[in-house]
Amino acid sequence: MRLLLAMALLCTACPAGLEAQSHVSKLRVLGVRADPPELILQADAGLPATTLTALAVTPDGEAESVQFALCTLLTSAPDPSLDCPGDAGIDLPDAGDLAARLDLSDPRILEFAAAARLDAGVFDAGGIAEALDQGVPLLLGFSAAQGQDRLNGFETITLRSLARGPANVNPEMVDLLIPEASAGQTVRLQPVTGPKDDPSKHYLFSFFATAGSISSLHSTDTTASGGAAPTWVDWTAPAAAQSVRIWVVLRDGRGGTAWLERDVQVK
Amino acid sequence: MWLPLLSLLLAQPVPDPVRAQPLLPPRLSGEPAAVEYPPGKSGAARVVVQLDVDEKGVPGNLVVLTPAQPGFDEAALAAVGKLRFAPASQGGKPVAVRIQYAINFVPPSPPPEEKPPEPRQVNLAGLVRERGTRRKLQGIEITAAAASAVTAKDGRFELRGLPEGEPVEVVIAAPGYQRFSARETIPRGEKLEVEYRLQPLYVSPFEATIEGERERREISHTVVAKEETDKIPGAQGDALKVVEDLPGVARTSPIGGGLLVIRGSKPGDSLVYLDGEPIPLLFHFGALSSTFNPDLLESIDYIPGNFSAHYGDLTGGLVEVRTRKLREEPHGYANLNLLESSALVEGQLAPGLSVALAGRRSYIDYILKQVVPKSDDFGLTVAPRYYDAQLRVDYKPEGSAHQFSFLALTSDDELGLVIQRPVEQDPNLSGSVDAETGFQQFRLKHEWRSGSLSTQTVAMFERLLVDFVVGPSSFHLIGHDTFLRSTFHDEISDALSLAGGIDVANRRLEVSAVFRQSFLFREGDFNSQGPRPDDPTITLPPVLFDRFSPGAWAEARLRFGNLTLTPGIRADLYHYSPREPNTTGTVTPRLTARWEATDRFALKAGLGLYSEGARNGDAAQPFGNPAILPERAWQATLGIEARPLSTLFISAEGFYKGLWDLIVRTDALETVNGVTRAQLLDNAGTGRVFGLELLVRKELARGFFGWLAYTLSRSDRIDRPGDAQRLFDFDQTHNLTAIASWEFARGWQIGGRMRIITGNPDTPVVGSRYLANFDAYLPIYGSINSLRLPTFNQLDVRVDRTWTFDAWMLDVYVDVLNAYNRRSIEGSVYSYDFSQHAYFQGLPIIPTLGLKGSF
Repeated sequence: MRLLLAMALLCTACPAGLEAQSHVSKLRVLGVRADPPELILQADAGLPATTLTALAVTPDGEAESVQFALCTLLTSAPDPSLDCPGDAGIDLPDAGDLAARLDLSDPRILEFAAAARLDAGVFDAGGIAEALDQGVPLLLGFSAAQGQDRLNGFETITLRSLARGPANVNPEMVDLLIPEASAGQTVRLQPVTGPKDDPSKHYLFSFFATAGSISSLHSTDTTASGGAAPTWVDWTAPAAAQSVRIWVVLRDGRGGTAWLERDVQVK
Repeated sequence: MWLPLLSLLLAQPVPDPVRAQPLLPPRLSGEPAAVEYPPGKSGAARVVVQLDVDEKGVPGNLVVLTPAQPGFDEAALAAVGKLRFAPASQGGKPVAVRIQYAINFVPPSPPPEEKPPEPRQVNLAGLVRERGTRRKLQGIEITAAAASAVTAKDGRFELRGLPEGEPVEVVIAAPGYQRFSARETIPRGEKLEVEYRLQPLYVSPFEATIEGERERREISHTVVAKEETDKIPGAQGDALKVVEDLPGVARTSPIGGGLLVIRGSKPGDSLVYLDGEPIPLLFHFGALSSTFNPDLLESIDYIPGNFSAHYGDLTGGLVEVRTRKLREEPHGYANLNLLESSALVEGQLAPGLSVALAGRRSYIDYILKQVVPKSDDFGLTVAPRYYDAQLRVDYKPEGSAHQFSFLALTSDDELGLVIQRPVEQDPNLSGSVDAETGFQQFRLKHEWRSGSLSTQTVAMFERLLVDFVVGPSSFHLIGHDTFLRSTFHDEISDALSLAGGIDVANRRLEVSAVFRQSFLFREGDFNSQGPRPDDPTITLPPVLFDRFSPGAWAEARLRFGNLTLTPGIRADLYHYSPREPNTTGTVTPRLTARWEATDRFALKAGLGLYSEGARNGDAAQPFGNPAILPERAWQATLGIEARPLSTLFISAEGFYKGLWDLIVRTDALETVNGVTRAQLLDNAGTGRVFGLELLVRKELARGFFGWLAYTLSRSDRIDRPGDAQRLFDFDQTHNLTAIASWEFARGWQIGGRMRIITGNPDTPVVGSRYLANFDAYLPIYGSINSLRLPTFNQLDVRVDRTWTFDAWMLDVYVDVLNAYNRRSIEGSVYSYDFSQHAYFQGLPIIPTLGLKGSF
């Protein structure tokens, strides 16, 4: 904490030349969406399933492939070197371009669920009910590929009962307002969302572009302290006329994700 | 001289029955011989001597007839033997006769007293002070018209019998001061009262620290006087920052201050004490000015290891900051620089009662409010500001052996930001960032001395506040702590002195927090890239923590000629409550030895055990483990000291520390009261530190001081059995600091500080993993502290110009940090996915301008 504050206050010494996260210059995964965003266990319904889709991009288009796996370690804070997909994961079947299907009725998954333990060891198969009411984070690993490039990541999806409330739904990205921009000009990127199903949700926006610079990677409609915040960011167009792809990814803080992609012609 | 009184008794002649003619007795011829009163005798005496006087009148056959009176008999015989007579005669013819002769001895009367000459009148008297400081000067010789006098302790002098009615030249030629002369005309029959002020050759606005060398109790012990700390470049006049320039102290902050790391021990293993009790927060905002006004300090004692049994609950080293005695005369100062202003006033309210009040406040907040532009991303709600204040009252009743002192301190730092846009590395971090830290202490001290025995007792109450809000995370701590320390010291004889005491600390903390485990940095984490955003959040409602740690100690000092042995032993108890109470205790013996081979050369050695109870929540859920044990260490030191000149000191020491039961993270689980939970911490860590330190120090004299400090060391750890050995977070193989300061002309002082220090260890990042839920990347680390940052080097320069007036002084100074503008490497930074690496650079050249007036 002290280090963060110190670095923030002394950031006059932050080195230039490090690539910004908002700049897409290579294989990237900008978000993962689960449809539905939660796995709800209900007595009279079958075991839940969801479709996972990755926003895996390159400056020129989409990634070649994304492999998903259900990690066989239940934790919300995994070791980053966990081999999942790999020996520590159950590969999930493809469900289209850059997508996979997570179906809890998969026999391999059922076998895993029977012996499941949380990382902290406070959970065992016999006492699952209370944990499910709270929500059990299922860890998913993925690996995107483009030629020789690989990008590995984690996504968590919550498995729970309805004790905590109704199932979450993904938010809706309606539009990303981008004025016309000339080379070198700074314009405002304004995300537009659909109405919130739950007003208490805090939206987090992430902005990416293949060229130019964005003033802030993230914006939010409500800060962590509960204050209102502007959701727009500024984008400075590149110095030369070109076509630029811009993305905005919306996360609702409860596993729900949405995104939009826009192509902008810089004059 | 005495005059004996003689009485001569002429004996009757013995009748001769044969001769019928009348016998004429003998008669003394000449003066009777002087008889000396026998030396060493007293009282009166009468000696009767029988003697035969022959026909020539010469005495013989002397016999003492009176009872023996040693001394007197001999004197009488000697005197009578020298007598001469006109012989007795019968019928006109000389005849021999036998007579008796008595001598009376009378004790000599005391000599009449010599009457002293009539004294001359004092007709010139006055006071001698130092110009600028107004300090009264003792031992200064004043001469005038062949008379001279020396000033007493109160600076006063008196001259007698000086010529009246005509000019008399008064001259003062004192070492260290400009020659002074004045022409005075003393009115006839009157006494002239004057006050003279001497201009010092080397300006020092504080009292001289010429108290004689403080008795060395500690094996490694460096004292830095106040006059030196004020002028050291780069320290901005802050005494506590000077500690970083001493051997064995690691550099931990780009601007000085920062964490205290001594001889390879982690921050927290070394403490700063103010007159025997710890200060909880050393520097404002962790690295700016210290929280205690340096003008109230006398000196800093730096003890890097093998400290005596006096100190416990500590395995590193310590800094003992000593406050000075308050002055009787009014004194004060006001200081302005770019960051803050400070002031002090002190004086005597009544005989034996002195008071001092000091304060400091930053004004960087006013400046920032005007200068920092409004931004959509970031806003200042409370511009960073800090203040501190001290009140001190000393009372010593006249003629009493008791002395009382009251000290109240307060310190507070506050900062508030609003971050509108979530931070890249942690999207959770947005909204308010509020930080407030502060403390108040109230100390009452009693000292008593009688003959060889002295005692000191300090009672202290402390309130501590630590309050952080960082987006959704928060930490609130309020502490109410009480301390009691009582020591005695008895100089039984030249060969033996005893000391001992107790110290009790009770820390009562109320804590509430919303935090992630990875926020809790430990040693080994310092060179990591920050907390991870996917850690689960732990919410701790307000809960009470108690840490009760009493200690008792005893120590003897035994002198065998030039050898001094100091064995000591200490017992400490560590008790945590109320949740899951836990008590542990340790007994730690210590021994130091010092051999004064000559009055300029000494050898020293030390060996001891040390313990340190868990701190900072390590012994309480949810931060740590209630069953945790104290950390342990053994320390050994071997060294030499030399003083080839009275102001030149050289010390070379080798040291070794073994560390065990170090508190480290664990993944283990435990079941407590039927509930299985993460253990979080255990005592599996071990470590070692070893090295050599060299200090060459020129103490302040004739306006020059400086030192060269070099440390060669290694500090490493093994976090868990079977783990590879790794470097300590602040391991700095070479640490060289050279400081010099010189008053090269009257009122001008220039100083420099050059530091060359091995770069800190660094933990590389060898890969990363994308966290899609948080749109952030998690670093994959290589071996902890397996790389090193480039070597640090920096030159700081300070120039002071001082004007000395009759009653006050003005000091204008420029303190330039990083004089040749080398941007040092302070750490590693990476791009968002850790695929690119760059170095985080420190500060550029920073000149600080300051103005200080003192009286």
